[in-house]
Amino acid sequence: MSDGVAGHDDPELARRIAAGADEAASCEDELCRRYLNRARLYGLRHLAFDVTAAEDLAQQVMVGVLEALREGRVQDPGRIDRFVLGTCRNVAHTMRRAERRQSDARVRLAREAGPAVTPPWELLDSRAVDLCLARLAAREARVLDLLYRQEAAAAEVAERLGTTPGNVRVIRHRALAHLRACVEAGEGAR
Amino acid sequence: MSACRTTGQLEEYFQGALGPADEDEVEAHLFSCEACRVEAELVAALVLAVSRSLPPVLSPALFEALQRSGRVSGTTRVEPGQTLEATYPPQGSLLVHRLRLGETSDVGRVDLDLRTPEGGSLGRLEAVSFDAARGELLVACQHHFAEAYPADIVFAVELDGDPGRVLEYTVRHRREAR
Repeated sequence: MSDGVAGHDDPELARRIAAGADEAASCEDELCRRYLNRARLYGLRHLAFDVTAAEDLAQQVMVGVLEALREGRVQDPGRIDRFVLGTCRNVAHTMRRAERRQSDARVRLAREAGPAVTPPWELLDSRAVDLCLARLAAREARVLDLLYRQEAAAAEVAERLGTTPGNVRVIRHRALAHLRACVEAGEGAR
Repeated sequence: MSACRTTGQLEEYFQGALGPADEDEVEAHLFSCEACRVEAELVAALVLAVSRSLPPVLSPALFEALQRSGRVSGTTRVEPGQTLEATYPPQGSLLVHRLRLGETSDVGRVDLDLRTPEGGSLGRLEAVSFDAARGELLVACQHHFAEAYPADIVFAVELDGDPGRVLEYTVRHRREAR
């Protein structure tokens, strides 16, 4: 359990892992709990919102970070946030270049033993989102459809709607705010 | 630590619309700020949910792909002015209403209004996909729609934005027998 280490800040967790302290395993769990979803978000952004790839990246990043700490390869534990981000960049670069899925034993081990952190793709009830989408204004629904289902660029959406990219961003922002309010209020059902 | 990001900036980040320097700054902040990490998770969750959701009106290509994947459990064919009875599909599968439009070679745009038989609005979808070759509009009906819509739905299809060219179809949905 990592309850006893939850009060440590990130650099302190990193130092204790590097020192091989008694509670190092708990510190590792806590560090993973704090950074796993950040790595997943990075993966979503940089790996075309591919959930499987984002999960692979996050697992590889956390395994890599923990190994580096244990082996004393993290020169400045005080900037462990930057080290994790740098590891994300390196892993994403490798994954894009190789265009392959890493699923070696280390990754599987990390996945099975790691702390339970709900990934972004499991945060929302997809059916509720579906029903709330149907409640959006027609223009808002169309912008989200074009941007996210059809993966059109904002400039292309603007051209199709006869408006400006700036206005597309405004409509997108309002649409996501309405969608979020509807889902959070449990208003998907009429 | 730099200043917290607005939700709009996080949306831009996930859209890939920031310049390299701005993107680096956002990422450095997300890796050091708990509040923005939580906010970014929600933004990403919404974007993912939308991108994974099925549009209520299917393009012919998406319809064919869904058929190949086995997700389409049934289809109906509905003619203009017709009232049809249909059963909501099982969880996880789709019933596709094929609304017959007739000759559409001259049609450039199709809008779809969803109404109750009494005329109450249930929503509007603008510039939806349609199958010009077959003269059909493909409406995806899902199991959980039973929670959100009345059983009887009128699909009013407006051609080329012309109120004088509206085709209406009524579908009376039943829940599947338990």
